[in-house]
Amino acid sequence: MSKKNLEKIIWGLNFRRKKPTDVSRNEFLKTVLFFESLKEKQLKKLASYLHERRYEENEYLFEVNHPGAALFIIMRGEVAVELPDDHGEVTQFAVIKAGEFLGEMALSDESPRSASARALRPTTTLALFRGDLNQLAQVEPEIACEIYKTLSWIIGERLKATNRNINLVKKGA
Amino acid sequence: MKDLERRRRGLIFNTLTILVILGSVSFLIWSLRTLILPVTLGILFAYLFRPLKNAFKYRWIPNGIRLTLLFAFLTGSILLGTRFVKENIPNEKEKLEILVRTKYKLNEKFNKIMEIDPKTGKGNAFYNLIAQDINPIRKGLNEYLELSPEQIEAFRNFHRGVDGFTPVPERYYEYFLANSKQALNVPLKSEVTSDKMAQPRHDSSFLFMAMDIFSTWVVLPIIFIFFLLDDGVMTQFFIRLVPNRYFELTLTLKEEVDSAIGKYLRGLSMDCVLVGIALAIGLFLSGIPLKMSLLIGILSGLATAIPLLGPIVGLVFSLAYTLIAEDIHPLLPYMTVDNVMMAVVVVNILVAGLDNFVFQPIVLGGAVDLHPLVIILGVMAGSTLCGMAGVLLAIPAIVILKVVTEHTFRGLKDYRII
Repeated sequence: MSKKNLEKIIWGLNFRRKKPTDVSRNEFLKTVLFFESLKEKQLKKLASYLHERRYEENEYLFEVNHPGAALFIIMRGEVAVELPDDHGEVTQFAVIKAGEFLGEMALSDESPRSASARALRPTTTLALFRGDLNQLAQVEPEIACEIYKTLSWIIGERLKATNRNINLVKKGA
Repeated sequence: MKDLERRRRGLIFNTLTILVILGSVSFLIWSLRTLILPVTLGILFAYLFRPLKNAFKYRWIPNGIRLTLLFAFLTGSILLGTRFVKENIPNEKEKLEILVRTKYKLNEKFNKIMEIDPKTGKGNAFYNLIAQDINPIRKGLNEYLELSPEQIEAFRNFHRGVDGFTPVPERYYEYFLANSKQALNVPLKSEVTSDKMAQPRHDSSFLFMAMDIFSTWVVLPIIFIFFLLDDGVMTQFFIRLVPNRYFELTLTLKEEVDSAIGKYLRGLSMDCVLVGIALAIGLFLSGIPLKMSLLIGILSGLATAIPLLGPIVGLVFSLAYTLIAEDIHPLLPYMTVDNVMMAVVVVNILVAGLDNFVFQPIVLGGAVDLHPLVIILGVMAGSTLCGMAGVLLAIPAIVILKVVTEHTFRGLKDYRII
């Protein structure tokens, strides 16, 4: 299995939830996997830590190899996760839609981004910055704990999926 | 092509940033110069107390009560501290007593050390060696400590007894008489002040000046409260203005600068407290009364916030006290009124050593490191540019500038913007 295919599999593992309609920020947050276990009051507190950003079509949310600093949750629009190769050819791994998120690994450390994220049409996101999550862990540890729990679950699921796929490839070979 | 575009972006960014910063800073310094000190101090205090606000977060205490208790604690501490300092600031009578005692003791100690014969005016060999150089300084000090005719009249009145004041002790009156033989020929208050009475009084202008200072400094608690209560709304507003390309860089930069400034300010405050406590303990052990030791400790501790000034303030105030000390009650052996001055110098040197080799490496170890020459030049430049405000804010400003510059350039390279 080529590296590109493996990355496609990993990035293809999206965590789609309920389809969000045009709802308020708090109601929207309830539909996001990261925050679904949070109570109304906790969501309100969390909302003050989120940064709303708007992107034009083809504008990058982040680029490959840049240091990661924030998790992006798509409120409206679509984002393509892609990786350019040395010849400038771009491979698209996934399209992230409203209610989904990307860049969650940036919440754990500042290692460089493994792919670029580009808005496919005008897009609105909510960004949770790693530093803000660290601060949240001090002032509202329960909220931060829920987010970290979800993050570790996602990483675990990805690892399981990767192992499964590697085994499938080995069997196939 | 891509590199060329990147370089062009870098050049435009650098030029625009420098122009905007220079323009904004010049405009702000000029237009709002009277507000710079209170506003900046308000923000710095908010930075300082933010961990306290975060630590004081218990679920069972409602938010409103929590903040009220926090402000009650802060206000109470400030009021108590102010009251202590105010109680120990000499009143009009005590000021005159200090002037009289200082002048008398200065001359007495000088004559004793130089073994000057009061009749011939001749002293020991050392005095003969330095007399030409030291006498003008001594004369200048005596003139500075000389009481004005109004002060002489007031001192006499205090000696006779004034309502609300304990009479001047006889010993100090003897010092007064010894200091000034012409005291007996001083004209009465009515004669002295007759000319002065004819002049218009300027109480109203004083009132306006006081109101002006009050209205300027009232900004400090307001800024302090707003910045302390802010839960990221202000930051979010400014972050929203940042273009998407620089969004993650700005957040990272903000966090790093925030952490560095917070560490520096909290480290510096801890250093001030430790210096104040160490000096107060040292002086008390040497025989300086507890209240006076605490007062000198507080003043020296506060002055430690301005680099190089802390030890000078501590030394000057403690030496000044030993100069007029009549008797001491030391806890250490072999201390007398005659050698307490030496002990005080040793205590100050020890505290300065402790500060440099123990306190600062521990409490400021992880904070921003500044070269001593940068500190000296920074304080001098601050003083020249903005007076007292410049002296107070020079080092925090340099710290902010250093951290912002370092992290901005690193971040711009990491994000391949330049």
